[in-house]
Amino acid sequence: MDRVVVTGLGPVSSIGIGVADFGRGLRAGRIGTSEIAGFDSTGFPYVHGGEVHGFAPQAMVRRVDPASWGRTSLFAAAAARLAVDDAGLGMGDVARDRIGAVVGTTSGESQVVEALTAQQVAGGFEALDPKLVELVPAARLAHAVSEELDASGPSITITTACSASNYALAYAYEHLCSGSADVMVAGGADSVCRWAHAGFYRMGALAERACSPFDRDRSGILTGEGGAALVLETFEHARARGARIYAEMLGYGLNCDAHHMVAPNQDDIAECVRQAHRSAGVAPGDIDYICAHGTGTRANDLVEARAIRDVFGDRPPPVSSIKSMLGHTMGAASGFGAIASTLAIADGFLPPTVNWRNQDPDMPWLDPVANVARTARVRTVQNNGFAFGGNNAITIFGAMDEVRA
Amino acid sequence: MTTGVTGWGILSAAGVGPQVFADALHGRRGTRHPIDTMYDEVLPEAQAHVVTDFDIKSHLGRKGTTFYDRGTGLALVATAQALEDSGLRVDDKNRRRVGVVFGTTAGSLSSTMTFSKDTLIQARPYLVNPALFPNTVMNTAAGQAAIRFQLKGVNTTLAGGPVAFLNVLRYAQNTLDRLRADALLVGAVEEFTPHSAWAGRHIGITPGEAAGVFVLERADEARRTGRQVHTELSPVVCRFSPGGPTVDAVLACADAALDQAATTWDALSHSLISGTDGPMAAHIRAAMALRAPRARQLDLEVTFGDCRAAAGVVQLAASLVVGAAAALMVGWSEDGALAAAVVRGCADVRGHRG
Repeated sequence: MDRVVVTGLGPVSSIGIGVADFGRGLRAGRIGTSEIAGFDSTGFPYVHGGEVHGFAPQAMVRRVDPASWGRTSLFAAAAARLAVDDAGLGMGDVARDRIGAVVGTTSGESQVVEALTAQQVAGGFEALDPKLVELVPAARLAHAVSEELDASGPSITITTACSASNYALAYAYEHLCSGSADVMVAGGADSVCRWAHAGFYRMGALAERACSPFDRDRSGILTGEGGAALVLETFEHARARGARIYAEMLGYGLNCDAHHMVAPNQDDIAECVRQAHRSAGVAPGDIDYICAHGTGTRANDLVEARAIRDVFGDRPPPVSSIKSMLGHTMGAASGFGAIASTLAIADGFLPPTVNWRNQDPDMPWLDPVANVARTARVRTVQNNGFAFGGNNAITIFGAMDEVRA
Repeated sequence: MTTGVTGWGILSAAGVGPQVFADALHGRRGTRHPIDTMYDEVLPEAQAHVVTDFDIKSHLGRKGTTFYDRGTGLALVATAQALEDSGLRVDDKNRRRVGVVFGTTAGSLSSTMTFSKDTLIQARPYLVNPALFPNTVMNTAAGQAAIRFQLKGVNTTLAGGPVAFLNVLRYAQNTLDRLRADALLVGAVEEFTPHSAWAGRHIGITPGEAAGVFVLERADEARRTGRQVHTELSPVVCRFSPGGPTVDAVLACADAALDQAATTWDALSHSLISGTDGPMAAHIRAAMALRAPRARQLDLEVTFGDCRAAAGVVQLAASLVVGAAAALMVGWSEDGALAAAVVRGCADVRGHRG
């Protein structure tokens, strides 16, 4: 049983591309949401989302041909390339069959499916473009990463909706612990799409302009997109190649509400938190910061805040939601959360919850790190991810403690 | 530590349940059915490998089933069969330790395209049916299975197309080995809809429809509780072949799976492949026939169609039905994913309780 460390970060996001820019965005409380340009939003009362404007995969990837992959796969491949470069991982540093990819997603190549739907509406099923049909399988997200890195280890896409990146990190962690790989690139990717925008609006879960998690007057989510990748490595392997270590991945918790497809359940979330703590060998008092799921809907934030109180009592650690800046990047969300958690530890700061105005009287115990990033000594972080289907997944990251190594 | 199958259920072009599946495998039952009355839409074929006359309400009642898409319905009926066959009792004492791991290609293409279509054709783009929104995520079947059978453990959906179910088995083995769960409902589903039929036509496959679910447990513990272990699974090997699949890469993956099982090509009683048909499939069949002269090759796609994510389910079900002493399951995707596993000591399933 080896220890698992984080050695590279690759965010492709609406608040910054690459670790330096993303980190600056988090510290500045940069708002990445804007008027939607990726699809025709005519007829929608609300037209804001968290798009990655000007995403230019051809300038980022080295091995995959952007013409052969859908947008979400390219988010995944570009994020992986950034992460591997950030890790200083050269081709000679790891055997091809000892590096694998795990990518989480909610809707996979949703824009491809929408393009096919438009073809069907215009010309019937006969008119579908076979080249687009070939881009549909969600497994291609992980395969784009494997192709980009020329990696022949496991190449797995996990489709557990909005907590999928944490599932991906957990599975990558298992591959490293069990000795079946030396390096795993893990994270998530999704693209903004019309149908998700419509679905959330129709559910009454969409905000008009600003996502303001934990605020008294919060009104919902903004759909977002992007790619998040982390290079996870066994401590042994990282040390042998002299890698810079950002943080250690200590463990995770996974469970299922088995309660409702879209409404979260407080008791099961609390149970998932406890499971994650047990797995990581930490106690509630050890957690310095919680990177929240924090979608910004009335119900979800309250359930999450109450589950936090169930585990931590009336004085929980600071809790912030980076979705206030990014919007809800769906399957990439907990991947961005993991990157933010890692940076919080490595750089000693707490990312803020922006767009926050008033304390919600229903959750007075919650410190949302309102509007301004905070300098802090951060040793251990809990990264929350919850999803449609009741799929809860929580990852725990800690400062690298050479003494324990 | 090996994992054992203690119960299973399957719906296929043979119909509902293992018995008719066995009949079809032995050539005693047809599996291509007329489909002209199945949907309002025009379909590319007059016949297909489908589950005929499937009505979710007749299996699971009205409550909670109204908004299931077809794939979810199929998967849940298979789950019910598997639970019943295994005799595994789920109650408040163990439900946190019982989970679900399902495989898929891209969720329900029919659900996503229909939902997406509404944003294009309705008077206003947001006039979608919110009750159908959850069907657009790819973990719907696993989430609904958890809700219906009250399973609060690990709940994961993996995408892999033709290797999806082998990915699922690998994930489940890891979860059981690391004591993260005591029992897992593992399965995969591929539904037949106008959307999947036409998508299949455009990429040159003959889509089949199937859903299968197996109860997986740590074999020794299952035996200790006095329950039957239908078969034992050696560790699954999952790999990727950059640049696309090759015969050599698929065979090397099979070699690795045999190593994991501490067995040899010579000792195989059966070999089963599922992957993209074409020249490569023929090469792999020939190479496997040379390496494993005693192994009977089962060509399952002829009988059940190309079941994509559920192809591995059909393989494992076939191994059980023929009582394979040692079967090699091999799969690959056109994108370069590879997987292989050995299953052993398959018990005859005539005593199936599903």
